[in-house]
Amino acid sequence: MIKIIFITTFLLSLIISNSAFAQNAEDIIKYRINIMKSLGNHISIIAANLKGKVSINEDILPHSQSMLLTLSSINIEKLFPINTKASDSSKTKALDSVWVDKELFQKSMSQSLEKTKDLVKAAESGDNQNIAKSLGALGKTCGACHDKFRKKKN
Amino acid sequence: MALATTSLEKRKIKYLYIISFIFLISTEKSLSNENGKILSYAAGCYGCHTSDPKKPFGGGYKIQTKYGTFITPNITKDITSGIGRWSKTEFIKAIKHGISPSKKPYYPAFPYSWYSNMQDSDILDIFEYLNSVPSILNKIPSHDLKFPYRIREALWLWRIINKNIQKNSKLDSEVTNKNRGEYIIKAVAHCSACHSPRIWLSIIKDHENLNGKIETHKLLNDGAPNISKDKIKGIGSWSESDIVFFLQSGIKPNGDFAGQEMSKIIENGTSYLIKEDLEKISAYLLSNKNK
Repeated sequence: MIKIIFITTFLLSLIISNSAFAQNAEDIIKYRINIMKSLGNHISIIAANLKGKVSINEDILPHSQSMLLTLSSINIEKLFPINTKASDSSKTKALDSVWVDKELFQKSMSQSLEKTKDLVKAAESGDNQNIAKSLGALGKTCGACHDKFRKKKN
Repeated sequence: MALATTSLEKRKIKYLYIISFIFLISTEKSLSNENGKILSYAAGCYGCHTSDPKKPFGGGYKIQTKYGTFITPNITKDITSGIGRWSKTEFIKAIKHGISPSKKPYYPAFPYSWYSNMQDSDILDIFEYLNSVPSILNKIPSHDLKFPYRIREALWLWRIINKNIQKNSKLDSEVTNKNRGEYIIKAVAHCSACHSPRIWLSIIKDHENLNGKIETHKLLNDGAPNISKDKIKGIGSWSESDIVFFLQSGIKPNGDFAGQEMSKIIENGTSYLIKEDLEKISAYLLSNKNK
């Protein structure tokens, strides 16, 4: 009897911990999607000024700085744990290459971070042409990273 | 005395006329060269014929396809490995008809069927620009294609099939301010070469279709999105300034970025176009003509 209780308890705890693990994975996926979206929003705000859709140019610097802060604080280990692959969940677009080619992924993120530093410098200068150039250069690194590590839209 | 002064003034005016004439001719020439430069980039000549930025137009760029690898030729004026011996007529024939000076057909990886709609004057401006860039000695190896695609003579048959299947995509012979956007999209930048679905033997039935292309192989990364006017599937929800900005910077309205392939096309192509032309492209893409 004690044996049965022991096995049942063990199996139950395994199921509970697994579902907790799965739920945690989905929360992290949502969390990192929000981080990526927030970066996209900052870029949209900067771009709206460069396109002349709005003329609130004083917003460019704080939004560039926010991007730099967000990117600097990204901890790949915590944001991309092994149980949050696309093959494990349909809710993420992160390809398995994130985990297979971790070093390259880290390098790509570092390149984007460096380009964001350039963007902040350009924003400090207040020269919109310079800002557009830096934003384009940042975009190139982000696009290259998405190509290698993000599932394409159908 | 008065007579001498008048004669001196007349001579001064004469010189002034001559100087102005020379200035006008040189300005006209440099404007034409500027047009040649812009079109060399916007038409993809630089992007496809440059493998090393230190050797612009020197060829050797590799295009991976399901048929094998195409290696682009050297199009600098070098007389042994480039196009230095080509005449203007031969250049126009190559660009518009896909036939080399030695009468061989080019593979359709070279988008001559789009360029066939280009104005001869624009093609000659490109030719003049290519003749003005440094000559580079760079002998290019043959394409590395699978059998039977490596049989170049078979391209004659492909051309007949393609001509019979493809919808007539002839543009108005005169390019005006009204149709310039359409001209750049369909003739110069050959957007549908990537953004149009392909059928067997990579034939594109309709050059006007910009509904996107799925990847031909998962490792090739050669898919391209729908850029029709459709608000959900395409870019119909973008504004004209969104399209202009995207073609200059690669940044989409939602803050996302173009993929690596399109980034290269923007950097080495569309970003060279003047803003007025980008505005005309945007107007066309958002017009009812782009279904």
